[in-house]
Amino acid sequence: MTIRKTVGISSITLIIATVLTAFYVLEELLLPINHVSASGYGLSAIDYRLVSILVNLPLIIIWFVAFWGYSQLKAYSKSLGNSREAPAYRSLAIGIAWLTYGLIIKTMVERLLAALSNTNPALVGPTTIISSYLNLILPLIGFIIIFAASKTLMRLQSSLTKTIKPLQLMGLCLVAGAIYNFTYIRAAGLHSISSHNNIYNLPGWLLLISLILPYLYAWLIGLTASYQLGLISLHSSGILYKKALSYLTIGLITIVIGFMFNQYLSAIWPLKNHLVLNYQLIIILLFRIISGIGFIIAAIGANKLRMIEEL
Amino acid sequence: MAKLSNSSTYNQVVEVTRKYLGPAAERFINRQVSNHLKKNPKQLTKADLASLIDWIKVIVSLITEDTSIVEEYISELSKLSMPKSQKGKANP
Repeated sequence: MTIRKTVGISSITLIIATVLTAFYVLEELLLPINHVSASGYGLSAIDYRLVSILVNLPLIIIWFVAFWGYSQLKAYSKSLGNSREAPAYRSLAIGIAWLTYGLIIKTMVERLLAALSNTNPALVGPTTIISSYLNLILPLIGFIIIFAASKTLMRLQSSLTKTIKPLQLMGLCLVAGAIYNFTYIRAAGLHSISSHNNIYNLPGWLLLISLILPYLYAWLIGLTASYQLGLISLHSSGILYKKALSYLTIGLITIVIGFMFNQYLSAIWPLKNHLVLNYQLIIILLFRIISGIGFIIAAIGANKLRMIEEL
Repeated sequence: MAKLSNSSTYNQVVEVTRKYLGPAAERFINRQVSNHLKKNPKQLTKADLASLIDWIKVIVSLITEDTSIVEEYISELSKLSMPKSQKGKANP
């Protein structure tokens, strides 16, 4: 086996990951900073930039891990050739690609938006709005694709359709939705449904229709996809195949749940145009690390499955 | 009659493999027979089993570190090459 096959990351994916990371580091080094925040932390401009990069170093590592995980899953889906489960795993890989690329693109765009609002305070509102929708849309597309793929895999195992427990799932989503709505509205400081005098700079009714409800939808399909992937793994046959598949599905479930929590946290703690060094950073980082662990586990599973298909 | 027993050997091997490799079983056996025995998988005979089992042992050892599963799988495949009278003695 070549080193490339063993490591499981294609040259193109590695180049893309490196270029995007370099671009982000350049953003941190070159874009305008928030001097008030820098003064508040007692940091010079260059120190502020270096601290920003250091604080985001775990995130950069997670990007590479995510790209590696995505590469392994893509390689596995290719190894399936024309088998009946191949299209579903190709879709899973595309869904994971959306989450992977979304993670890095969101961070880069948010850095750019923060720089814009640092140079022109009148742009704080629009940049917060753009960031809010970016936080929703990119993972939502990934969740939709992953959900469709898990549905296809469920259909391939026809015996599984009788084991779905929709009421329990809906109950879980209702509880999660209620908690989310409470914390979201509290964080927004909404006083009236038509006022946009809140941290999201959107009227309450628009927040509800275009952000809150789509978030709930994203998490419903994310949870359902996770549940379906779990069922698929539990009911698959073949001792070795099942073991490898369980790594992949546990990894994917961890990724989806990690991203859901990240979305939730980014929703209740919207974009700030300065460095934040408090408990919020630690909690966000924790769930990013959970997603990163998910990518590692999924990559191990995908690699084992690919060996079954290629050796 | 010979052709029927040949396809039966293939089906038996796939059936045993399915316990370990699930939906990938048929693809796996097809690949091993085509690549290493250089023949049509459906034309697999009992005489080919010894070579096939040797290859499968090597490949599966790369897939898993659990030697007990590898040994169990190989043992199941080896039983297919035994005459029926010996199979009865092996499994009282």
